Amino acid sequence: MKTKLILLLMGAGLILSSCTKYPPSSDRLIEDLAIYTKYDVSVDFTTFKTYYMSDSLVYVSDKDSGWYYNAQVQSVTSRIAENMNKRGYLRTWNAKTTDLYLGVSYIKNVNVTVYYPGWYWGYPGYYPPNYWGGGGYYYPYYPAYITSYSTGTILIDMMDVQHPTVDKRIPVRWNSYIRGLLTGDHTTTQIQQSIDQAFAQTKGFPPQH
Amino acid sequence: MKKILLIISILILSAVSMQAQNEPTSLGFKPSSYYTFSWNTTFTMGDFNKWVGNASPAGFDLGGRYFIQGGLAAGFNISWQRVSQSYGYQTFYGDDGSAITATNYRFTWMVPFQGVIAYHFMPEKMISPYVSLGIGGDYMEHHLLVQEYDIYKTRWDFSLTPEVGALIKFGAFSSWGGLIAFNYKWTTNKIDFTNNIVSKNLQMLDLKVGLVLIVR
Repeated sequence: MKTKLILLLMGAGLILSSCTKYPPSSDRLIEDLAIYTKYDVSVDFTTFKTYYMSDSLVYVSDKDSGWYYNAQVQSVTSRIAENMNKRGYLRTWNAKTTDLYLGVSYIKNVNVTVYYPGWYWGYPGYYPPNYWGGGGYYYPYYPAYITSYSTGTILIDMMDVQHPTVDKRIPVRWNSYIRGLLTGDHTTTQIQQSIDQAFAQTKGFPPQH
Repeated sequence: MKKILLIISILILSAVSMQAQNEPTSLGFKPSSYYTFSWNTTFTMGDFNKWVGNASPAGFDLGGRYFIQGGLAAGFNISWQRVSQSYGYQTFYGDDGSAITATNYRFTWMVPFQGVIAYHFMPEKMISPYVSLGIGGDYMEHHLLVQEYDIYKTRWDFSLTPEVGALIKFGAFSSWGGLIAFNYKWTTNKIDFTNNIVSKNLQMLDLKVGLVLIVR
């Protein structure tokens, strides 16, 4: 009897130990498309009037990086511009006099374990480090972040170039990253909808006209 | 839910009916205690059902009962249970200007432990229906997975579990039998996340099917 009881308990223990707390299918989430945004809640976004954004975006991969332009890039930047225009911002082509500078980059498959403010500044081709005076950039808030980039990610940083700090650093007032795009599995419509969503879910932006 | 109750009732009645037709109807010994090991399927109810609507077969239960007098028994139950469900795209807002739109996955992992008092109507029969009441607590973890973010809260609670079921012995002199039971569980546990995801007094129904080891 004692043996049977021990066997029963051992069998139960074996089954219990094989059960995991996390459901197996929960791992799949990281491969799904996701839109993260964060903005500086201390800033009134209606005070900005103009913005500058290049038609190209910065491309970063494991092997190389640089400015990149094709039809898909154009669909991304034009959709961003459309959303900015709807909120009353006027696009300008003078990066030195604009209120806001929008930096758009595409990270293909760089796998990093931790993303923290400014980790990608070291990549050649990203925003020229001395462009506005040499102080670099900073986030007045802790930005939206992720722990790894396993699929295509679009990063958008909105920099307040007319209000540098005393040490000439440029504050980033809004940042967004859209993960899972440009991998070949998503349509242009999905990409554009994701950009729309990034703007729509930012409560600090002015309402659409 | 009504269907499940109906099926269980039919199973128990069928077993009792079979017992009436086939001898022997009683055990060849007097049980002093028994141990159960069952596979559990959980059906969330009320507010808990808004958090996870799916029934979940991911659960096990270990129990022991010791006959005190006649059909009256006392014992314990220790369980492991998980309910989970994936959801489509939703937007979650933080109070710091952040927002995430993504698919999300919710699950609750629980470890109930209860003292149990049970009454067996026919403890020495081949089919032994019973009613019981479990009183104890749970350790629960409520997880909201949004991409690689794992937002979770852990909570302890107080719980009550009335149960109906039956032990179905495999033979007059066998120490082994089957167990089928159904219980309702009420807890003081709660879930509170952003986006008005709030559930209080989590309740659930459990279907238990398993084995019983009867000790003379």
